[in-house]
Amino acid sequence: MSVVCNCSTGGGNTGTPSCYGVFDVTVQLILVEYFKQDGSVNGIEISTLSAGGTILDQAFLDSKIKDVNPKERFYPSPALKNITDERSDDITESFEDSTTIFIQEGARALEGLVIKGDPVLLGALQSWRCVTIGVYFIDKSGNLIGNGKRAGWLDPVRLEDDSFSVSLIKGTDTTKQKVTIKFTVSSLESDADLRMIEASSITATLVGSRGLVDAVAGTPSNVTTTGFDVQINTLYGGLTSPVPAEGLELTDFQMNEVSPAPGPIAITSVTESVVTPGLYTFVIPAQTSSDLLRISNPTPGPLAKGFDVNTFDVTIP
Amino acid sequence: MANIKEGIIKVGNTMFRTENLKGMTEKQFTEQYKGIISIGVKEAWKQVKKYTKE
Repeated sequence: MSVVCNCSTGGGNTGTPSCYGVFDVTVQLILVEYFKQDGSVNGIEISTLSAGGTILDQAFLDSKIKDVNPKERFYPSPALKNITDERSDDITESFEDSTTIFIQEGARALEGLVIKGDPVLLGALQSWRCVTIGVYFIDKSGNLIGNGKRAGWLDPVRLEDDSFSVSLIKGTDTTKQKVTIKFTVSSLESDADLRMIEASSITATLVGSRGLVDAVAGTPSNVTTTGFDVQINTLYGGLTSPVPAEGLELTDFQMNEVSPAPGPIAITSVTESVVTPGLYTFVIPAQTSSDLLRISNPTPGPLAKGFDVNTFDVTIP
Repeated sequence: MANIKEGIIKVGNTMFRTENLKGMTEKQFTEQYKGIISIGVKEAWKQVKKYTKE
């Protein structure tokens, strides 16, 4: 962003307090869709933090990371290493008398490595290319850094459209498999607008926070009018040995009849097998043959566990 | 047995919505949950019955 001159007040004061916090090196990112569905920026309204807008606690962080609405959810990246977060050289114009004048700042670009990043994570990150991305930076000290230009809000830093790039680096004899993340900050953003919620005001476990894991149901089996079994796995692991989604319970699901009579159905019970992790037995009120039922995350959320259960259907035989 | 929240209890590895259990007989419960509940269907029925009576 080019510098905006204020001719009425002149330059800004250059004094600083004797003690104030500064940003540390970035260790993690929180990706968000920059715009909410209503068109507003998907930021953090400071007044909604606890203790009168002064403390970012775990409940607040969970409400964002486990938001049942994927469009407003916060998506923490895994820990990043070898971060470079630099602006390229200023763009200047040179003259024949060997003087130069400032035209505009260079673009700020970030690059980092996710150690042990795998193709599933790569695919999840690639899907971000389709949206206008905002990002919060979590630094080593546990500060949450964003754009503080809008009064009363800490907004995400907007990225340049289509600049987000990820790639898989396979392991070698001497190195581990990695995923690289690269992007350029939007030219609409100014470093002068960067602000942070300091670590001293954050009681949540921000550094090391983890995003949701997709949980995908297999084909329901043993389907009767009063229940069914279903294996729910994550997308991680081998094709023949997927990592199961363990620990889900009744309150982690919601069921609706899709047809012929659309409406909610209160699931009677959900039991995870003690023998086969991720195998769940659902018991439901008696249904009629040919009823189409849809199981999804519970609304309004936030989700209680670390899984985003992908919607699946069951047809009563 | 744990009362998770209003109307929901946890017995062994199973979480129930108590509203749906009202009117269920021991025979129906046993048929539905035999081999599923970690603590055994008899013990589970005892606990469920106790809670749904309260």
